[in-house]
Amino acid sequence: MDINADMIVNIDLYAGALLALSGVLFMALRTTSLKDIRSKLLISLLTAAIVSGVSGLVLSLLPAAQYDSLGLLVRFLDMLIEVAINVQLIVIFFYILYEIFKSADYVKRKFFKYIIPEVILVLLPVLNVFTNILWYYDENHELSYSYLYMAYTIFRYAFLIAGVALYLRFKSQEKNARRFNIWLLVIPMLIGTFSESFTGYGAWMLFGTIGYTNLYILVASEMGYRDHESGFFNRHYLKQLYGLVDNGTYQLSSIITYKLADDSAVEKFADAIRSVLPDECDTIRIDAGKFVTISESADRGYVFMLSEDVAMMAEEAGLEVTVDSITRDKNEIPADFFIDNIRIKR
Amino acid sequence: MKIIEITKENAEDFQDFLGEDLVADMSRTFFNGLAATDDSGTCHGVLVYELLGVDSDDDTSSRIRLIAGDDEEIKASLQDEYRKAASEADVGKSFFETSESEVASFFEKLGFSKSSGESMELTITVSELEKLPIKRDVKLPDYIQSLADVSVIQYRNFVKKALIKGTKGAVEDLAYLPLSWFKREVSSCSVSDDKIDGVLLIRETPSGELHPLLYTAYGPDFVKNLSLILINSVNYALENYPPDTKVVIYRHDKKVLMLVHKLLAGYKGSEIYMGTREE
Repeated sequence: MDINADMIVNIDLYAGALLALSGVLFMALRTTSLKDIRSKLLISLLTAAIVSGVSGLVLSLLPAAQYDSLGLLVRFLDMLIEVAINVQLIVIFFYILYEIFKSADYVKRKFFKYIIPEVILVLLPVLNVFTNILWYYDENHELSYSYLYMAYTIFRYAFLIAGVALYLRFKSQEKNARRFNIWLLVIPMLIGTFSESFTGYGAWMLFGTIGYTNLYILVASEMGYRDHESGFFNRHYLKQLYGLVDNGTYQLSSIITYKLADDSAVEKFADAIRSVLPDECDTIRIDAGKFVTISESADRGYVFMLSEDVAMMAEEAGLEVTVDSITRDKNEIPADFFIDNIRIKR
Repeated sequence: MKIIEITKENAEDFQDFLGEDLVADMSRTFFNGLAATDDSGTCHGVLVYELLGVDSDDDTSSRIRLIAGDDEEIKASLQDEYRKAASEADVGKSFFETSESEVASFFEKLGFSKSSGESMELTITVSELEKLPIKRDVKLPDYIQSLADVSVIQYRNFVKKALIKGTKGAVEDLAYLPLSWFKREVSSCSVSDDKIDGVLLIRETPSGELHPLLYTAYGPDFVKNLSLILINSVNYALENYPPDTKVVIYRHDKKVLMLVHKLLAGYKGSEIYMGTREE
């Protein structure tokens, strides 16, 4: 088979489609809870990536000579790609909002603030099918773009950049944003955008899909730190945490320990206490029936309240649990406090 | 004459000295009291103090809320017992505020410094809330609610969050007070995803005063929510309390001072005497 210029141009479309499909397979095999809004957003993201990848693949397989007779199909597939790319941008933007603020209510409240850009982003490609205001096929059956398309492209990326700016503003205020790394997604997309702009070859989808896959891998790796029975962090996370405590990143200041009388009631216990655990604290399963909640706060009032709440919720669930707590003295080294008070069986 | 401890169980016995508001305060975790009684059990003097900084890494200090007695000798005895109790509690510093010059002079004789200035407490009336520079006629969104509409768990989860972030307002024992301590109808909150993310906690004392004690919010909309929460509480107070109801604001830190100055420009606390002593 001769390799020609058309095929080289379309390699990224093939690769994008393959990556998108494999990403969906990962999601299907490993997503444990579709109730998690983050999972839903990522599924939307990857579905949009698939649509754009597969549409691009189909388009690239259509021989150029047939564009004339299959003009409407081609334009429809082009529209699908554009809509899918735009959906990806919108989903990314709201994913950023959600991950930053962890509030579905907040995203809903701000929804209408962004709905006009969304309408523009999604409907213009549809409008293009009938009006050719963004792109069209010239008399040589080659794809051409109008100046409006360039403005439209800039607008799309401004939308994404606004999301990144929001993230940066938040990160300067909240140090707990450490787990969400937007650059894993944005850098590949920026590479794709620049390469497409300067070389004329379509690379956006390839790099975009790399970005989405990176994001998924980030989510999946975080899931690797989770205990599947309780949903809390596991001992792998504890080891990572010790590193953060030792290097001063995490100022461990209080530890509340829960010891279940019945090790087999882990899931029931976790479900009972989940609603009273603060978002600012991490809860880790360190043994069969033993958990700790850790915090950078040494406030004894908070420790007292949480201990009371856990004991109360466990009692309501009919579970017997022993709750102990300790706060670090201000002169004590956090790493020593960690070692002395979080004992795990080897 | 013997000195006994005032507890929540016996506080009502000393109501003549304490007043109904302090009687209620004696059930609070960091409030302590001493009473000088004779053999027949008649009270001749009381001293009430509040410990501050017990639950944090800060040095513990003590705010003497009240000292009263039939004569100087009784008050001195109460002070001696207080010093012992303060020592046991690792109090580093004691301080007082009083409007009475004689009381200030009494403290000065016991080693306290003495100066005069504006009280940290600012008292206004409910009718004066109308003058606040806020848009009271704005339509409040559904997520701004009265504290009467939230559950105890929601409230406790918010308090835990506030304590983790180091916010207690004017309530040193916030962790130990039940939701019912505050007047739920006039207190307001903002709720997002079923979680409280902003509050204005107000206590209605037994004598009928309103004491705003905690005003804080978190999240991306915290500035807007703070305004809306305040509007909700102010409107409720104006509609449901007599215009001459006292509202006592304790300007316990610089942030509150600046906020009150912004909202109630021109209002000043009364002139009082104050002093401190290292223990």
